[in-house]
Amino acid sequence: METISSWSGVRRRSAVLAAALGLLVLLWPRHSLTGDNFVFYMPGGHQIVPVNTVNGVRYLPALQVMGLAGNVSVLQQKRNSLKAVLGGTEVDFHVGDAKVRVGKVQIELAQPVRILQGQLLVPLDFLTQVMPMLTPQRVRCEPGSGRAFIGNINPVTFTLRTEPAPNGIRVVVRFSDKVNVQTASTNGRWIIYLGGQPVEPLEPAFTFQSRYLSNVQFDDRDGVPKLILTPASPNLNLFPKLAEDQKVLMAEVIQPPPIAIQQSPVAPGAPGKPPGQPPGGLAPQTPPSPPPPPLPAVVVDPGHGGADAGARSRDGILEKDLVAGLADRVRNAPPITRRYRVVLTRAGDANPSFDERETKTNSERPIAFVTLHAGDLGETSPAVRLYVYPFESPATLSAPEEKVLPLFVPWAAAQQPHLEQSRVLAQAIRAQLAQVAGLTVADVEDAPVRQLRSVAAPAVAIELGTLRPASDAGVLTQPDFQQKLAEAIAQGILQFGSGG
Amino acid sequence: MSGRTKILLLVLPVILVVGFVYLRYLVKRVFFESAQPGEQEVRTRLSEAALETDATSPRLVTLYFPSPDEDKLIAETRSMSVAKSEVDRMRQILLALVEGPRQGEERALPPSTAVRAVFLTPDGTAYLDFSQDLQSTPHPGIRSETLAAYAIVDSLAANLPEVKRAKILVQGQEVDTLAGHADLTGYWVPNLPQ
Repeated sequence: METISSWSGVRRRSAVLAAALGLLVLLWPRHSLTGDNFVFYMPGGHQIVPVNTVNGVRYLPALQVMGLAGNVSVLQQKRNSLKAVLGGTEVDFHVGDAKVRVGKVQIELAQPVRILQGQLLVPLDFLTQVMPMLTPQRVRCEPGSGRAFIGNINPVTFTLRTEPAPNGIRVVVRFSDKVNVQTASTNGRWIIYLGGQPVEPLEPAFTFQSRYLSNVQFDDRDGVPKLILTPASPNLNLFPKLAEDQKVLMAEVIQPPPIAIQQSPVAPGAPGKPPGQPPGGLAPQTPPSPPPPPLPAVVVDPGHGGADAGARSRDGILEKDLVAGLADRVRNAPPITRRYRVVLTRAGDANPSFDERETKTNSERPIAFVTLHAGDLGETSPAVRLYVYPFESPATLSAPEEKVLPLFVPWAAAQQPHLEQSRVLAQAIRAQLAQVAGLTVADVEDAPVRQLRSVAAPAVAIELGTLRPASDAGVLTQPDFQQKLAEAIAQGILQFGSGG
Repeated sequence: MSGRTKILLLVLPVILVVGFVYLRYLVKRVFFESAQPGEQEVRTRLSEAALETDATSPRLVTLYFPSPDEDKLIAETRSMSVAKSEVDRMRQILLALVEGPRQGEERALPPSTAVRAVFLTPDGTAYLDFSQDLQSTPHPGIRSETLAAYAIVDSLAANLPEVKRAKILVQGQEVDTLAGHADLTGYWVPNLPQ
């Protein structure tokens, strides 16, 4: 009997313990963690920084944000504190403390600094309170907006209003500058892309009452500014058009009239469309309108990356960084973004293999490929040289008797069928580079550059100089000079693409 | 004192003595002995010695080095005791290229480069195997690497008409590039200056 009673006592204690544990789990303070993005616009482009929302408070990674304004060095890192320097000013963070010491000044943030997944996180008011003290550049941000501007950036602003239209509603968007728009329909919503430049709404949200349109939102969390229109019912059509020198967008959301059953033949040129419907209408769901054809691609390859730094100047400028900056400028050069989708072969400081770069390039089927390098070009600086792969000249890949098959091109000879066009591309870019003041541009040469070998498209290597241990990089690092180079390269690609 | 304790007291000093002796040996080996020549260095020394014994009367050879001012290779002629066999002569020329110019041109190859092996096939293809140092040029770039590769193949072809093309290997393996630019996956055909 004693054994039985002690056994039941054990069971009772176990049950109480399990219940207590369950209660503890239920009452444990929850840390809800959600993800979002914050877009930083800078003179050279934009950067997307992930936002961590913990218990309803939005945090940014401190070091990543500081790195957008300049070179950050971490002086001291302990378990619960971190000391970093940006632009000669020291910043002291202590985990769990809202006070941040900036130089000799103490700033109190809205929330304590915290560490999550190895990242030091700061609340959003860090951008408005601390960042302006760390950099001479202008830092502008409205924390609720999800975007910030570092440096001299003047975004295109806009206002939005709605007005009634026959059988629908008209959305009128007035921009402060010219915009290019592209429209797409996806998941029952219309997306109006507003070009590649920074865009900022003057109102935080758009309010209106309409039985045709449920919602209009501005979104640029992926760095691509766009308006998202949600129709109130699926059978509505959108008719966007630009007016007043591309500064006003008028988007009409129209209810189509009921389809009359007609036995007579449909008028040529408008098969299946109800009468009276203006051409170019975009229906959100039925029938689904095909997405606009993607723009043709241009691939830009910034050489090296990661542990492979390439050439180096006396003042420590690395080839991999120099060409990555130049590639970004080419990608964002205004003339090229309107007509081509510019794809880079590497992101950040990655160093894909030659074959990986070429595979990515060939899968895009680009109209042109440009690989960017910097190296020792002798005493003359700034100078630039352009190279094409010399299949028929001295450095041949294969024995002369080997021939390229018409249907199946060997990977190692993929550039060979495009060699003639590569020379045309190189001449087009050379002609534009020759117009850059102060730049010495040599004739197009043959050189077996590995990056060109297996590219199945017109391909050119551009080498910028001089970057060598005996001299400083000098003008090569100047933003104005880089911008001129990037625009000349972009213009050369455009001319090649238009057959001129 | 138990039996186990007695055994422990006897074994522990032995372990300590052995450990101390081994530590002294390690310290001596790491800090005081000069580095033993590697296999590569031994191979190069042996081949240089072999070349010297096989050498004939001095002959004029032409080597190509990058010009410091212009975008081309410059020929430098020097008198050398050359070996009788073609492969040994190729090795001599490559070693002279590694040694560097004597008339003010630029270096074509890093001075630490070792010539690991040289072969010449009947169809005139030279297989040239260099040490990793070949890729450690302080001047990586399309222009400088292209000139370096042509300096190798042109110097060989200028002195050995049998050499029709060359395949450059590093540590016995095919590599993509010399230092990130010039393609070494193919054969380099001489482009002797006219």
